[in-house]
Formats: sequence, structure tokens, C-alpha cells
Amino acid sequence: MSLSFGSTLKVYLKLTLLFALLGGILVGLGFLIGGISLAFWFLLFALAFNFIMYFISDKIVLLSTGAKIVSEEEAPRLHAIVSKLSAQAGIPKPKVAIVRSPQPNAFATGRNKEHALVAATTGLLNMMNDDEVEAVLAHEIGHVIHRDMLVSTVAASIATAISYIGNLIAWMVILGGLGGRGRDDSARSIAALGAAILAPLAATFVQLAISRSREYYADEASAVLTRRPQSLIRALTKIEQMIYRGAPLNASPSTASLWIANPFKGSSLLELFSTHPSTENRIRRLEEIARKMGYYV
Amino acid sequence: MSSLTIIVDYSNVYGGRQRFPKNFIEVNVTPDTTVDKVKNTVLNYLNIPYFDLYYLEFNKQKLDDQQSVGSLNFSKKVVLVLKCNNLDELYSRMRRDRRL
Repeated sequence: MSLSFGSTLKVYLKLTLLFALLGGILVGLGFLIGGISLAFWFLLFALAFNFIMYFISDKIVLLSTGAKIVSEEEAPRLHAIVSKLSAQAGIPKPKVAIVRSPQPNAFATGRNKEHALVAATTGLLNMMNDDEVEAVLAHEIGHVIHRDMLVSTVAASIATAISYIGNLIAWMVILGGLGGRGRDDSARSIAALGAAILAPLAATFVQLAISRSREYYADEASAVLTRRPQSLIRALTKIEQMIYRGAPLNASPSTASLWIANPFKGSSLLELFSTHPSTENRIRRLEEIARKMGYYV
Repeated sequence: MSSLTIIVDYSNVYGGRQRFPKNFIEVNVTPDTTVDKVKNTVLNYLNIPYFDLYYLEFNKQKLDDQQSVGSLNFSKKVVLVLKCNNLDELYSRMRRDRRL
């Protein structure tokens, strides 16, 4: 399975730009606290912390979502669909799990293709036909192929380091460690405090933008893998309707970015603050893909 | 005939854990509406066809499917809980019907 060269290039360029932006914020803060080397140590610390999380994340996710790994006997339809999709994608078959929840949704986790896990809710399996379940799970397989756990871990590490440095700067200003008593020094302290507040916020926005771009990328993978972008359009529409009609998921809100659609969002939430692009934008992009594939939409 | 809104908590229809926010849906009824009708409305919304495996509960008391809402003297905003009486049978039927 592969996306077109232009499309892949666009995805990588965007990801590079977003990571460069995160790196830029980190370097800028490093200068404020008196050197890049200190910023580097914060980055190392954040990387170590997040990579431990990266290795145990699948277990944490299973616990926080209430997902249970199921055998082929327990969930034959789900296993058959995951087997078919992983064979098409050329990856080892991921573990399969079910979340006992009425809301239709799904997620993928695991640190690489060899340790991947795909989960679906009972609500999704009950409400969707085979084509729609396949489209949703192909999106999740897309996350596995694109190593999105690794991408999000690196993004989270840099954002965490920025947040630590922001806190340090704020405390330095409060305790008088940045600047002296002159007018210039006061101005410098105010600027540093402003940066300490704004930089972590900017880093969070960039981190969310990375998360949203990975969702579009996984949608595209689903369209290419199943050759039926319309199935994902139908599935996303059903999920969206269920979420807006008030079917909150029995899972921890900290897992919001994992699911195919954010199960905790409210209707007024701006896309900028969201882990997922709006369903409307996702459908628009899928329709474009469908037209390129020669389907009338 | 006066209408009433009944809130149904369907968080536990599949027997999942209850550590997080509950799942509710409002159903508009008249005093003549039976408990069975309320239950089936919610199960249809969830696309669960196994009506015989479910019942509604009020204050931890199982309600009779044939009772009318009017005879139960509910207050304005009553919350009923939708429960499955046999989860093993539910999952067995879902497997049989290629839903799992």
C-alpha cells in the first residue's frame, strides 16, 4: 500500500515544518535561560520520560480505555477484518481488542508494527456494516504503518521540555533570578515571563497540529487501503452523529487523541484546540480523494 | 395528554466498567407509553436487536415491561437504567449474528 509521491512529500514537509517550529520554540527558550545546553538537558529528560511512556503506553491505554484483548473465537468478525487489512498493508497482524462501550469508535496503539494493537468498541461493531468497520480499522492500521505512536512521543517530548523550561523561567522571574533592578532588566523579566507563558501554549498548539495532520494521513491510508473512501465518510458521519447526540465514551479523556474521532468534544470546540480535525474537513478531503480515485461524490 | 421526558442511562448495555461519565438519552413519552416501548426506543437507537435480554430499572427495582409510565407516578425528570440480564447470552448472540 502506498500513497502518491506528492501526497507523501506534502505530509513529510508539513511534519518537518511542525517539528522545526517546536524545535525553534525550544531553542528560543534556551537562549532566554542563558544557553542552549540547559535546554538540551531538559529535552533529554523529557525524551527519557516520554520514551518510557512509549514502551509501556499500550498497557496504559488498555487500562485507561477498559479495552480487553479478544481471541478469534471471541470476536471472529473483527479478527477477520484486521487479518485482511494487515495482510493488504503488509504488516504483522496487530493484537485485537474490544471496548465494551455503546459509542462507535476505535483506536490503535503500540510502539511499532510488531507490537501494535487495534481496538474497536462494541457500539462500532453493532452499528456499522463490514465496509464501514473495515474503513475505520484501515484508518487505525494507517496509524500503525505511519508510526504515529513514535511521532506523537517525540512531539510530546519536545512540548514537555518546553513546558518545563517555561516553568523554570517563570520561577526565575518570580525569585529575581532573571535580571536585576534596572529598567532594562525589568523589561527583560516581563518579556521572559511572557515567553514562559506563551511558549508552552504555542508548543501545545503545534503538538495538536501534528496530531490533526496524522489523522488526515491515516484517513488517506484508509482510502488507499480499502479503495472505498465513501465507506470511511459514512462511518465518520455515523460516529459524529452519535457523539453529538450525546453518547459519551466510557474512557479516560486523556485518551482523546487516540480514537478515530474525539469522543469527548463539544460542538463549539475550535479546531485549533482539538486533537482531531473537524469531521467536516475530513469528509471534504476524503471526497477529494474519492474524486481522484474516479468515484463520483 | 401531558408528555414527560424520561432519561435513560444506557452506560452499561454492554457490561463495561463504570469509571467514567455516564451515557444518557432522553425519551419523550405520554402516560400511556409502556416501559417496553421506552426500552425498545433506546435499544433501537443503539442498534441492539436483542430486546428480550434487556430491562429497565428504577431505584434498583426492575420494572415490568407491560407497565405504563403513567402508572409508575414518575417525577418530572426521572432516570431509568437500562440493563442486560444475561451478558454471556448477549455476546453469544452477537457472535452468532456476526456482530463481533
